[in-house]
Amino acid sequence: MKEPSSHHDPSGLTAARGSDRVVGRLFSHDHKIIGIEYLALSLIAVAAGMALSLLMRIHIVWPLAKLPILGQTLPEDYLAWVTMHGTIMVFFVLTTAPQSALGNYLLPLQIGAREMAFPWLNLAGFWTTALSFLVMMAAFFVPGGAPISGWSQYTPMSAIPAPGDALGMDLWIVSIGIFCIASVMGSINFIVTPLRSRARGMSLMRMPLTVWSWMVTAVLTALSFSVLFGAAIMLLCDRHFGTNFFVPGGLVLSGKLIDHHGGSPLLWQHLFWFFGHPEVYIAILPGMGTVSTILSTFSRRPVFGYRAMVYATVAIGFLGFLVWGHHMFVSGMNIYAVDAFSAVTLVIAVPSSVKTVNWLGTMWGGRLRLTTPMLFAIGFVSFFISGGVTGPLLAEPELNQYLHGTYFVVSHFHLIMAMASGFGIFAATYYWFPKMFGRMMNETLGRIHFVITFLGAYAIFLPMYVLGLAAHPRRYAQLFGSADYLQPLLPIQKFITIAAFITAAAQLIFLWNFFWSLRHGKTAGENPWQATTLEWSTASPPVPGNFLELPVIYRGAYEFAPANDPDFHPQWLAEEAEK
Amino acid sequence: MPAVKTPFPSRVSAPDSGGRGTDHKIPTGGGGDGDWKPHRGRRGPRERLMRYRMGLGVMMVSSLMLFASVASAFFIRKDSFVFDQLTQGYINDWHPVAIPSLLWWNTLMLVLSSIALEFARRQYFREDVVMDEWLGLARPTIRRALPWEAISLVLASGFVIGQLVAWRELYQQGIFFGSSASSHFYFLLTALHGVHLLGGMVVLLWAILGTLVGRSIESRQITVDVTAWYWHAITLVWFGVFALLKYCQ
Repeated sequence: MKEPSSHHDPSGLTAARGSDRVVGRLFSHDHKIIGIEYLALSLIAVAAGMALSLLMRIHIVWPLAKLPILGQTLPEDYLAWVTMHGTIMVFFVLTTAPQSALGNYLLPLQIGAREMAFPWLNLAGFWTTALSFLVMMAAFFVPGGAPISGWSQYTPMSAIPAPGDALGMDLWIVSIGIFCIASVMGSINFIVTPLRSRARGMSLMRMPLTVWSWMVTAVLTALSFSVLFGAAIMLLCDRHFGTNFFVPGGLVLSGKLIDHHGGSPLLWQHLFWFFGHPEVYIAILPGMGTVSTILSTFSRRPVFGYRAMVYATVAIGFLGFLVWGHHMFVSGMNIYAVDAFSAVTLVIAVPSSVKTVNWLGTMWGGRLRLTTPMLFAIGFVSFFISGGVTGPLLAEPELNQYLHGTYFVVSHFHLIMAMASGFGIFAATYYWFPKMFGRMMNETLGRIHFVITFLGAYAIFLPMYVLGLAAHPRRYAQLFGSADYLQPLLPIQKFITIAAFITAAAQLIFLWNFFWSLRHGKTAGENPWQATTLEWSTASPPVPGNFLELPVIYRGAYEFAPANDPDFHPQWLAEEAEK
Repeated sequence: MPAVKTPFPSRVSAPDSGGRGTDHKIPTGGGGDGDWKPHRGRRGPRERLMRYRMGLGVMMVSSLMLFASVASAFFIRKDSFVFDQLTQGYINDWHPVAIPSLLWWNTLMLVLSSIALEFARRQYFREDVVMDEWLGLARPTIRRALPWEAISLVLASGFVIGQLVAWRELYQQGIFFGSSASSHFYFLLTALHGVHLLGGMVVLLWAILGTLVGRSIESRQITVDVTAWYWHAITLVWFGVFALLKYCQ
């Protein structure tokens, strides 16, 4: 079969004029460019989200401080920041970066394909996501400002146009609706591509665990985001088209009886968390795949229990759909439903433990190379344990009654969803930066970044466990007035704020390292980490079309043999198979 | 500007190549496009078609979840009790909307539309049709498939108009979207279904255009095939919506 080699000649590029190239890149259907666009979008979003979290930290300890541009800030500003921080981080960072950005860039490279299954759909997905982000950010600038009812938008508060939930709330709903459509567009590619575009020899059980986790994540996306879409439509109808899906009768708001009757606020919670819990796994599963790959590469050992890892990924995805009720233990539900949700939630600890044990097993006895990506991957495992271990505690309905409304939950989900996922993203960025841009990131700066961020994250969130045990409620804007009894806890809050500022400042090191290394980093070469998966077989950055010749795969994704020399057997090399 | 170092790739990979570079243009033989298990017979010339069918399947499952979420809200709302100010007790305030009998005729039209499109789809996959098109001898699809596509489009338009007439009937009875819990769901479900069908009709128009002037027989096959499967799925969803509104209230 002839190989269309002329198509790989990049000389045609020089013929294109400069402006055409810029437009061509912005609207390219190439998965690598789309991946980098997603990455840029999530970088902007994470900057906005972090800025909001710092504002929150300032307000809770110094509520009377006058800020440079904002001046005197109010408790309702705090609530708006909480809402937008959660929304931006969950949707535009934790959903976008590990799945859409890294997944788009790497999935075709790792399975030996030239493109995603539906490149144009992929392109449309990115720009739809970007539109959604713009609409979301616009909520800050409309009269009434951003919504204040939290990222979960509990009804009936969010269902009635009122001060605090005015036009900004409508923009929130529209933005999330657009985001749902974009996510489903993306998920179609992530499911079909690994099932139908794998290279010769790449059986399902030879795929890197990253590909498995992106695929399972996409299944969760396709099934859960459309439920959120349906809920968002109903919420918008409640606000503007006179329906009563979520607003109960006899509700009095600001001294006025609301003209709604018969709706169920709990219905919203059910629909929202039916999406919301799988969303947690959408955020963490890609990180799990990344960390498995990185731990294996830098321990120079195969992933311990590859098949168990695959099955655990699928099991976590499946169980993720059966546990939404544990977000609602304090909202009121049938006592038998509480028991069922509690039991299924505890069951999730099993596949999660399988994963943790297998990560430790991968490192056990390995020749560890403590590079920056490896450090971040180990940090991921650390956060996964310290954040995850409180999951079974919160799954106990009795303990949950006490802890649900406190900082304990804030700490739990930040450690596991934000810090673990974030460290997964950092590990992936340090690990695949050489592949994306052809240059290495600076190791020294990377390690400094790791140490400060790792210690800083624990300095922020471990004290929150203590606050939670001391019954410090979540969402309180300040510890004054009726919350005076919380004054003894103020020193801990101040400590957290200082730690947050130091940790945020450390991210500037990362930014500097990222942009400096684009131009001045050491040249990477094809396979700087001596890794085994397919993306390292091609040039850095990859040639157009990813591979000069479509590769053939001879073995599993993680074949390291410490006794041999070389100690790794890449998937694409035939000869090592006989050794 | 080194931030994006990946060169512009359009010369390498056709927009629709789905990860296989330009290889898919090789019409016969299979095996050349990364096929590593030829005995399964799943790769080769039909690879693109299968890929699109699978993509459509994922999309339909996702859409189904949307209808399922509204349907679950329907059941919860129907059986819930609300506090009544007058009697100071909990009552069930569900007042079912009388479903217009016109919906039976609409259902019939949608089914016939689906069947017509299935005929069009089958015409596109007849061996003699494909051979004639392939060799450039004639365009039998215009004679064989186009009428069915047109009939399907007309019937689907009839369905949409019928749905609007049914809405009008309800308006004349004083039943609007916001009137009662039951009417919320009637209008929401029919509207969601209608929007899905309208989207499909745009694609069907595209398929008709393709039949008239399109070049690649493979692309035209895919458009008609995927549209037809979408039609069947939407028809099934309508059965579900109709049964829910008619019999589950």
